[in-house]
Amino acid sequence: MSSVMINFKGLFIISAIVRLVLLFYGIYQDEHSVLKYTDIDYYVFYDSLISLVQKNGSPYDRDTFRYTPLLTYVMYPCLWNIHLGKVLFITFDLLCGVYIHKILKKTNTKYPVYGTALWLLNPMVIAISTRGNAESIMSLLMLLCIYLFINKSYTLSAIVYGLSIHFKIYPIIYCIPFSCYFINKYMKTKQFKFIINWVLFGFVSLSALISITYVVYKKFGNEFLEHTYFYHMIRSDHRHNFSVWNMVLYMEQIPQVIKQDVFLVNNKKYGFFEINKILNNKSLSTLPQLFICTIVPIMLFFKKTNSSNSLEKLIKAIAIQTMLFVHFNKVITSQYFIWYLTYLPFFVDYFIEKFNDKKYFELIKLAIIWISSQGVWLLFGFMLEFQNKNVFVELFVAGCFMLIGNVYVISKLIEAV
Amino acid sequence: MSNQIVNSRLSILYFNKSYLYTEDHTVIEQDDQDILFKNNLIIKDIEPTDVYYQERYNIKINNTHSNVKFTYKGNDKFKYNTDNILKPLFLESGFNKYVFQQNNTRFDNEHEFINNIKEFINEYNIHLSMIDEMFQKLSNGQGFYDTIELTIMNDKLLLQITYPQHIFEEEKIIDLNNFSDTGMFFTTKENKLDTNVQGMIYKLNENKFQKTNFYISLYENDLTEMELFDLKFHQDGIHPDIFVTTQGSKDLKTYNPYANNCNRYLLLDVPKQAFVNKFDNQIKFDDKNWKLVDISEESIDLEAPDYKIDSYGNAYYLFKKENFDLAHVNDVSDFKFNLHNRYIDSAFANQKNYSHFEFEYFAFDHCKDVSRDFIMTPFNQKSHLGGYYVKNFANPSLKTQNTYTNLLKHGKEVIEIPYPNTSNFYKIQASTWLVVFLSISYLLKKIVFSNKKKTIKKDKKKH
Repeated sequence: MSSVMINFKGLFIISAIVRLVLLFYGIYQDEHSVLKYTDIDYYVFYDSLISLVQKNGSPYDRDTFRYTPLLTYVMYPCLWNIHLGKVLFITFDLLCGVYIHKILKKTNTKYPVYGTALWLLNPMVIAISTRGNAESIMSLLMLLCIYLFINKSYTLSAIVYGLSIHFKIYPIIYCIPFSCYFINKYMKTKQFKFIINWVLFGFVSLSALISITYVVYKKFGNEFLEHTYFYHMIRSDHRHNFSVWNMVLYMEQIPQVIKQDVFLVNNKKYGFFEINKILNNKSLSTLPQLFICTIVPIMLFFKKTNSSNSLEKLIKAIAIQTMLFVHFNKVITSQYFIWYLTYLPFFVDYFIEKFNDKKYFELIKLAIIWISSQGVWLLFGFMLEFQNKNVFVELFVAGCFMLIGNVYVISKLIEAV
Repeated sequence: MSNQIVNSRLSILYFNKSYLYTEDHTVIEQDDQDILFKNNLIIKDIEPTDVYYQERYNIKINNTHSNVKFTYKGNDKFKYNTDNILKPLFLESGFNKYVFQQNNTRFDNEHEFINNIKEFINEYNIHLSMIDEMFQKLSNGQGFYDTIELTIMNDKLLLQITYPQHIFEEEKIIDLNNFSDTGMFFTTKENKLDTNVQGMIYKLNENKFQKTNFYISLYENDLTEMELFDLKFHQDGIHPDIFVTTQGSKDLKTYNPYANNCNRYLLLDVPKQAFVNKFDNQIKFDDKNWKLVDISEESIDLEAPDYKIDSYGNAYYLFKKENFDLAHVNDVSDFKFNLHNRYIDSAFANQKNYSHFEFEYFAFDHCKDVSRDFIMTPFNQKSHLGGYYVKNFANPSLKTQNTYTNLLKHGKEVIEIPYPNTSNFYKIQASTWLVVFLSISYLLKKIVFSNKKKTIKKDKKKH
């Protein structure tokens, strides 16, 4: 296993060919089948471009466009050919592979090519970009940010970090591991430059975020802020999704539930706790997520772990934090998995060591738990969506299994830090 | 100051020309082109099918700017002949105007309804004219009627009482002086497709009469049977599929020789529990087949649960068949799209924990025919279509329109979606928090304890 059977160049070429084949297959399927290969979001991006450029309107004229208008501009080549946006996303996806490989080499990973393969040959990653989902932009921005960071180009890294927060809010949580890195370094070396770099990184990233957001705000006004940021803060997706919170947030909006809460009878009290009372789940559900996403990176950094390399620890902390953020989130869809699959390659040494130690079952167990937790949920999701079966209870249990299964996977990845 | 009547009309509908022009009638005389009425209309042998008394008042109604129509159908379930195409026309047209039925209130209780009208009449100090006596009888529970309608439109009140034919068992004398005008109409089925309506409107005081002649086209049954068009509804999942199939083996002209310059439409009347997503791939990319050309609501929030939507009750989605050809010999097409349900349905669940609601569909050809001055449309009877159809297809103010409509298919479908057992809510809420709490505890335990042990073990192994 230690010998590298394929080099990065070969891996990259194969990955590019696979993506190109799927790109053309997608075009074929879209034209010949009622079931479209292209992701619905791709048409949302495309429609926003048409609204902006051809109809001289706003990208937000297109319902459900909840992104920065910069994404609309990224889609610009689609004016020449509708599929060019996908080509761009595939390019970003392949560039992610390039930066993953660079970072893996920089952090002295033993198996950089295998690690890169975890991204480039990941079927979920390939499907997401070839179907026209824009998540590869976020992955590329964060990988570029990390690459610049580990090369100590803190100013450039901070600019990219600010841009990535502008694109989607969630990378803001990485301010905790980034801060932990600088503070940890300072505590170990007592060199004040790390505090200066910390302040610089924070200031530049904040300035970049504010500047870019302000420019976009000046052009697109309040609707940009409403759709791109505020909507995600108040969002509670009443449609079914993987989140453990989904069922409770769905049901608490049903008038019948509200009614039985208002005209409360037989309220069971256990000490101070009222069991039969609707909690403010929409707001309260953010607390466990914030807590775990804050405490875990801090604990990982300031606790003795297997990783002695701070940069390696930073990347793994970001990976684990992202996974926690996704699985404790109020809304989880498949594309959110890409947020943390971006960092999966940085655990390659851990996986291969397990393999070399012939702990195959542990690896298989991890894979089975991660896949089956989705599989069980998707089975009941299918029964509800496509067979109209009343499986809300089963779906709720599957949501719990999804969280528990992924918490187990995260706990195993924590061992690798 | 009392509100006096400003106009009243007596309308009598016949189905046979011979009823109007009987040889021995004493009422109507025809001498070449002159038609004479006497003061009294004697209804005896001619047996009119329906008699409508209408009175109009100009009053300022408080608290509403809406055009509303209150209808009560009598307990006597008089079955109208299905061929009686005139009745809906008259019910909808009032005084030379269509009723845009934006709000419709039904009363389940006859007594309550009549009392409501009575209070209304008293409140606005309305003096009923010809129908006063009838109304008094009704309020005393003695009257006989088929329908009572109170319509308010543009501050004008229209009160209408309809009598079915079979109450005239004895000779009845109606003083025509009591009415501003009298209308008599009869119909002739000219061919398989068209019905001709002829008659006259007579103004006694002015001694003027006006002949009326217009056509109604009713192809509904014929074309449906021809299977030129088919619409199927299918629900496997929570998003019901709608299939629209056009058969291309028939030429519409064969069945409708008058058809000319037609467009084909599909109109969906969907409650707010569901919606048609105009961004759906099927709709966007199959628009060479059927194109979504209009939605009655400008902004339909695709993500809101139904009970948070108060801007509309139902939405109308209008699809137009692209490149529609009357001689569509080779036009065979299939079109499929979804209706999207909003997951939270404010309706109550049935015993099987499913909630349900209805949507209605209409497929029709809308044709222009300049050769006829005025062709009425049977679609007017679809009053539940509200103002949408009338505004877009049958607006009488658009004199140049000269259009008529052939209803191809009409139906209602019931959508059923699963409804969670709401009594489980508190258990689900408690379980969710428990799972989250245990997950966090496990992770913290793992970081604090397990990792350290593993590290130590590993170190020992190395040594």
